[in-house]
Amino acid sequence: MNYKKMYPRYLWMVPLVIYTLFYILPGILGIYYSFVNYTIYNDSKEFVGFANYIQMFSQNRFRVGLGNTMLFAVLTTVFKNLIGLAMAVALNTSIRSRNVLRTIFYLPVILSTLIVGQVFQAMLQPDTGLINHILSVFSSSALSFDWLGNPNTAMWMVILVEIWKGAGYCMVIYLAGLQVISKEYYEAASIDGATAWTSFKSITLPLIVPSISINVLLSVVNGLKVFDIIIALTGGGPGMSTQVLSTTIYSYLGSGALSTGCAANVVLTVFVIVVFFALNKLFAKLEVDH
Amino acid sequence: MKKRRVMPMLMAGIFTVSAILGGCSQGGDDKGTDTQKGKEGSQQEASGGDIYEYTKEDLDGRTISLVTSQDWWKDGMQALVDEYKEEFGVKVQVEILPSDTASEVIKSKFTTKELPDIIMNSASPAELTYMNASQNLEDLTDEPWVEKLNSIDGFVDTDGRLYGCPLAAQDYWGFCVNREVFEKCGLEIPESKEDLVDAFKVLQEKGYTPFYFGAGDSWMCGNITSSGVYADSQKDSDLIQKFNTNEMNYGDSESFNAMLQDLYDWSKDGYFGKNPMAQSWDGQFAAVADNECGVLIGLTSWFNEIDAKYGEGTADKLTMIPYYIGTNDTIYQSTSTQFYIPKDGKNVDVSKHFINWCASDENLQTFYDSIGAVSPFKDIEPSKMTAPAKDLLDKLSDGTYGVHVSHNSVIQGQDWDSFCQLLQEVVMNRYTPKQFCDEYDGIREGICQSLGLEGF
Repeated sequence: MNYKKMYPRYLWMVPLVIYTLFYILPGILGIYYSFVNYTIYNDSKEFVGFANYIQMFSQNRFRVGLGNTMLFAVLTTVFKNLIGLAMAVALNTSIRSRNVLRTIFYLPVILSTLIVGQVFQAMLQPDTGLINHILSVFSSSALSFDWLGNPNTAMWMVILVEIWKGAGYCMVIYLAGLQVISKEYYEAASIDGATAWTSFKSITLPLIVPSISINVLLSVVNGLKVFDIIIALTGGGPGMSTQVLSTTIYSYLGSGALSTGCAANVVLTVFVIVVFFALNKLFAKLEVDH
Repeated sequence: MKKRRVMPMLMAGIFTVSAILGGCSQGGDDKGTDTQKGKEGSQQEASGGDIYEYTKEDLDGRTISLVTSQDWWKDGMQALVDEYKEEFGVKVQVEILPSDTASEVIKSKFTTKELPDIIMNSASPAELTYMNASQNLEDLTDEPWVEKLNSIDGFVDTDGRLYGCPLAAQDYWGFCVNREVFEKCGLEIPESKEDLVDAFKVLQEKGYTPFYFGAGDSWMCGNITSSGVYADSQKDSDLIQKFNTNEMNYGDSESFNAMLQDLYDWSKDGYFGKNPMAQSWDGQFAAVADNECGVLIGLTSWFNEIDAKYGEGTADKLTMIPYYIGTNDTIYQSTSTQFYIPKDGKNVDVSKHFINWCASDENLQTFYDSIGAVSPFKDIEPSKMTAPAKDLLDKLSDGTYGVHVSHNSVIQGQDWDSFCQLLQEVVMNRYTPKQFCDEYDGIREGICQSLGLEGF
């Protein structure tokens, strides 16, 4: 081995120091603050044990935020992946317009969330919104329906927009997974008389488990941490109907309850880590070699 | 060989750490030096003469920063800023925050101590609490313009000191009756809550939104509760003290619960329209102009905005009546926004000079003429005032109507954003008054404990 061509070993210290200062230290400070009574109203940081956690779990707004976060994460993960996979399978054929269609379906991913929020806010406006104008063809009462202002529909609309925005991302990863599957498998199955569904179920699905794994993991983690699309579309309202964990944390910090905000953040982090490892383990079992 | 590797490693480590820490400390030093310089500068300038006697020569080329909200920043104030630059050569850099996030941004500026030279903010105790006025803000009690105020009682902090200049409208809020709609429905101006509820029924039958109150903007839900504890406080003079010492809370207040119950019931009965959450403060303008509703919430300076938007005289069809909700029958006198000067600013002297200049008789008159609103300064009356505002002031001065200040201005430990958000849940009938009180009293208790209030 030619040692002269290797980077000097001490260089590992640079990322270590940067990572420690900007990632590990703030994380540790966050955990520390969650166990003290730190607010913007005073400078004292007395140890209070689990008081912030107990107070937080006793509040309905935290429980509502937790419930909405789980609903959002599960539904967006399922539908983004189903739609993404369907689009990928459809565009993995030799149709002429496939490149144009791939670009069109991927386009929402590159748009800024705030712009998507503004566009959908305008589209979902009562009386003036495009969606209501289309629906009013079928029912005149639909024109004045307030999709984002109604507590029964607001969360569903946010979920729908997120699916619209994120399905293209899943599609691209699935396309990459589909393209490495050898055509020979399908030819052999075809000779054996397998139907399209059987081929999909027995060849495609098992061989794209790594793509499913990465898509599901990313979708779940992003779903659990969701913040921007909620702020852009509803601001967490009306009332608490679209509050999620991140907006609840924002609300705690905004109201000066810094320690309670840190406690909520710790809960969210632990939650994300647990879900991530559980899913990772599950998908590791399902993976097969080509 | 080993020695050769160890030395560079050690050196690189030391350089990396010292570079990062050095970088941090360099920034800190700079900041410290700047602040120090600023302070020294201010002191030198102040000691060099009376800051209120500064001329263009003393001030030319200096810049001060000012943070405000879109709702609070009026054309009249911008005109003063432009005029000040013209006269003294001082550039006032104005950062206008969006109305819906201003309160949180200002709060975070106080948390991080990244404050401008002048900050415009609401003057309720909730704000004074997180601003920690005595520690963070300049005491303005002895400023020359203070003697021009009608009274400083409504503007001082709990320590009796004045930390802000109320260079804004002294507003009065009330329920606004649209007389045109009422006349079409054969209704008289309500003189009690019972009259009002009767009118709601008729308006509903005739296809109008009986009461448009912009509930989609959560702060409007907070606004409608301003009178919540007023009736109780009339019966018990120690009521506020009891709130602030944990002897009682919102759940214990009869008048507050009566108000919440009305909010819940009126929404359930459809008096706020089919979907109150689709209503907004901005939407009220069109609701007035297009005669969509019978009653809404308004304030004295708002009439000018209606006239400006829909033409002179549009607001004349409105008549202000008290907040007839719960057991209340009074008009809401709001705390105005104020200009605050953070203590650690580099330009305290110029900031004080600017505010004092704004408070000259001539500038005050120009400013209040432009906003056409009631002034808290002596002998400053806008030359032009809308008919409904004038009518209300007459009724207040002859005692027809009394006034209340909002409960959140006098009861400590408020988390206004959460308060308003939970109220939206009441308006949507997803929270009962009891559920609201249980949840909010818990949130407030936590804040009062943090504040170290006695009894919590």
